[in-house]
Amino acid sequence: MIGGSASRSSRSGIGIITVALPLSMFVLLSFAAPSFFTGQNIGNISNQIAALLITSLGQLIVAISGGVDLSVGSTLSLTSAIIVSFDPSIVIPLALFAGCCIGVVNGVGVAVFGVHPLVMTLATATFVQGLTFLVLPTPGGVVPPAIERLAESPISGLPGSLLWCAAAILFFWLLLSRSSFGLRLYAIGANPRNAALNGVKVVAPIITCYVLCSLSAVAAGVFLTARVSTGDPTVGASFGLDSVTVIALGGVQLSGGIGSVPGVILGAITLGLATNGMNLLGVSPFLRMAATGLLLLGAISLQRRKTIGV
Amino acid sequence: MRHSLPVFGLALAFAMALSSGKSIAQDDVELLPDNLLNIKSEAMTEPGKFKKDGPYRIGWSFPGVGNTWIVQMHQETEYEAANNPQVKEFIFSEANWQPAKQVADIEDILTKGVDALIVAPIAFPMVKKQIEAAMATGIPVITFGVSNGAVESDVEIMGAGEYFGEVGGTFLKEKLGGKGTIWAIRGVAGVGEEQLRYDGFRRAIEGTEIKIGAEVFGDWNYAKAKGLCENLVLSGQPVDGIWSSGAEMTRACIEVFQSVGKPLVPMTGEGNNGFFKTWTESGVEAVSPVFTPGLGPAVLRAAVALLEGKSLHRTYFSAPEPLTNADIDKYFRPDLNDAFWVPSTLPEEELQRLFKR
Repeated sequence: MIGGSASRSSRSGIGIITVALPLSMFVLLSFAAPSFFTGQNIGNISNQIAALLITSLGQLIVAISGGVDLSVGSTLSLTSAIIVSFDPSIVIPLALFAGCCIGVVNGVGVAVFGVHPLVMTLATATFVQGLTFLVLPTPGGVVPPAIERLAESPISGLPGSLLWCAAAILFFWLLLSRSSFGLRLYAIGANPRNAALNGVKVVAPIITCYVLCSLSAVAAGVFLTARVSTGDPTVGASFGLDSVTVIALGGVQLSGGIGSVPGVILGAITLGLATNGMNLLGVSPFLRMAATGLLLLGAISLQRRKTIGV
Repeated sequence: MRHSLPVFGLALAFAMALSSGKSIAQDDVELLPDNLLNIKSEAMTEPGKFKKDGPYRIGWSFPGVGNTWIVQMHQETEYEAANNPQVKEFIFSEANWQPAKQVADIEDILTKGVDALIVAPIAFPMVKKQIEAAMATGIPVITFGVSNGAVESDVEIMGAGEYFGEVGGTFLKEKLGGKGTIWAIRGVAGVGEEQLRYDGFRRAIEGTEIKIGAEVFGDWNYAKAKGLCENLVLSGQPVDGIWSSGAEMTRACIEVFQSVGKPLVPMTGEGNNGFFKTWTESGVEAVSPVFTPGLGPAVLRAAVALLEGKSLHRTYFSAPEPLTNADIDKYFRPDLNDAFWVPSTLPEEELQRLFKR
């Protein structure tokens, strides 16, 4: 039985490192970089991590089910290309439809045909990226004003990105913590065979996970395109691996069954602070990637593996 | 050291140009010698508009590191910054070729309160909002690349990507007598500079009977291009010439042709020492458009000049005469390694320290 605060805590994956890392970075940067703790920079960080956080929340539910989705970056890029390439009245429905199709293909491939998630989503990512270049070969195009306004906040002084993040956090938190779908998902991720033997349907929830993950990438694509006011066929290129990095930093176990929305928020903040901090501290561009890799390696190495349901 | 004198002379000319550029009239600031950087727009920035006391903090957002040209351009700019007393701090940020990260980088640089911002966009439309925000704060913004009017900045310095591609296209058109099959080895898909080079190449072969038999993206990367070229050669597709968006990819193709014993066809390269070495040893018929890493220091000098209150032209472009088989002996440096690009603004001792073979 999964229930009670102890079980919920253990399946969240949040450990001391998950919390201590962003906190210590925050304190360190507040002292080391004079411009870090300013309203402008906090707004910058919020804007910079919003799209990654939304994408990572989608990645979270796929990871809890025991999979991984590398096609989120291409889906995000396709959304950007669609927004500037078609009639403004149909771009959002078209992007959502494309996201659904990508998710269904991924989900069916993994859950029905038993293709490994890495192979399945890498193949989809390659196809979708190629399709994106066909829709929009080079960056450019005009974002419809109505979509551009989506990245702005109706409340003065509050970054629009915060509202996007809040909406995505609320949706995925309700889904995972307050719905029977979430409960089934943890059971499937922890041990799909046990879950099936206990009467939990496995195929449909896994397909749903991939669809929701693709739709989160579409939402991130809409936000990002609105934020920069133009389309770019490669804008999502880094999001596939970055979203996996975020969930790993957030204590999510890629083997399935462990992970939580707060963990992903902490992971996104950690990665966002690392990028922002290295810019503010003027770290050499040749050291940044190595530093980010070391950070990830350290964070993952210091987290204890936990097993649930076996 | 057989060929060190011409390049040393060139470096000396750069140094003289730099020293003389500081003392000449306001409307004649020379960022690089004439043959390397030309004025494209007669319009000038307003004298004194950005004038403030130095030394300055200057930030540069760059698309990404990852090939030897960029590394050398960065080294030359750092050297310029370190040796210019008017530069207090030079912040160089690279976006790992991720457009979203470049947007974030520019925001972070602006947060640091820089006196001038330099942006080499992955794609101009992507950073339009950030450039506009920077200009609204009153700091000078210098862009590096061809915006084609997509973004307005105070000064634009461009590498003449279309000219680069056109030089190669024209060379192949002449060598092939206006007909035949060409393989096009392109750079990184979706990057503005790459598209400009390709557009220039396509324009040069327009109206001829030249066909593009294969078109691949080698990411300006030696290893990737070598694999692609191996595949193309082994496929048996006909080829009469190769147009390449970068020298490291051409070098890879020459080596593939030689390794399988296939006769070399005319190819286009770039001003890189590794390519010069392969060019010299293989005897391939080639042309080499010049894209100097000195553009990095030139952009930094432009930022300093604006902050010193000098007036600059709004647009400059770099389109020097290409190098041909007849020029190669003058520019190839056997004493330096394959990562060295010409022409360089670095003094000889720095070249030896950084690029000694």
